Amino acid sequence: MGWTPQHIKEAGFSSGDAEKMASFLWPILEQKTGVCGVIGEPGGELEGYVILSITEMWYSTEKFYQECGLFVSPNCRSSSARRAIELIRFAKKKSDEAGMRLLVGIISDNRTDAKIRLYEREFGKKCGAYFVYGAGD
Amino acid sequence: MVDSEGLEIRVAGPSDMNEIMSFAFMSCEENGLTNASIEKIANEVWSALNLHFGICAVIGKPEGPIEGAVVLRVVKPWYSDEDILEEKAIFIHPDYRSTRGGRAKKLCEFSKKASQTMNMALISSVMDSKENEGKIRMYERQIGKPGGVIFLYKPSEKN
Repeated sequence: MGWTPQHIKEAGFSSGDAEKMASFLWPILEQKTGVCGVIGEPGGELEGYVILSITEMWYSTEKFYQECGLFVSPNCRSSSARRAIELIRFAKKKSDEAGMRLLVGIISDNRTDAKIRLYEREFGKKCGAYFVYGAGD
Repeated sequence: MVDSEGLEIRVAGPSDMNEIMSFAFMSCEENGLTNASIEKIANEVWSALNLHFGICAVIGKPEGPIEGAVVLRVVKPWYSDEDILEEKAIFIHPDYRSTRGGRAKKLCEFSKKASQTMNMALISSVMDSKENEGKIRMYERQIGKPGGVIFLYKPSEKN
């Protein structure tokens, strides 16, 4: 929870609500509604996380994993993006184990260009885009 | 109000349920990532048709069949208590895609107006496909550059 507000500030397009985040994240940490992968030195502080929520499309009852966020602490970000790659591979492994698709949406702006390139290396070509109208007005 | 092409855009209501359901199924067949569930689609569409956390607009000739529709629902992101307007589906019947009239553009303009009136950000997702190339160009003209990208990992391809 400590990093989540910063993560939302970097990646969200509406403001974060601590209570809502906590009630969403808690059952994921209990592995009831998803899974959260973390990275760091054994016994040390967490250096990053990936949150995978088990969800359904509005038109379907088929379940899939949605990556709700992948965050690496600014102090631990490196040019090789090793931690982010490990977290993406963790997410893909969970998808393989559960036999469920994994869907990831990333906001694109100048700050996220490198993140998108990283996902292209790990996932292949993007499969879609989303358009946002009226955010931040 | 009927435009110069003889088309009218109006807010759909419960009496449009059957036609909108058939549009929703066609849309899922073209764009769906997972199998469609009639119960789930009916719940979403019925709520929108009753203006319950959503709205649905249709386009066509007055007294004629519906030629296109957009379904919008009010949702909250997982991390926020702020409402946003999510475009669940925008669909033009294949019979009217190559005819004049700018149906998709007019429905997109309706969505933008709803977003302004309700003072909520509007989010629309579109999957890459040959059929959606025109749709993506339309969004770019109407909304601007994509605000984000979508990646999909399919475990079956690896196992």
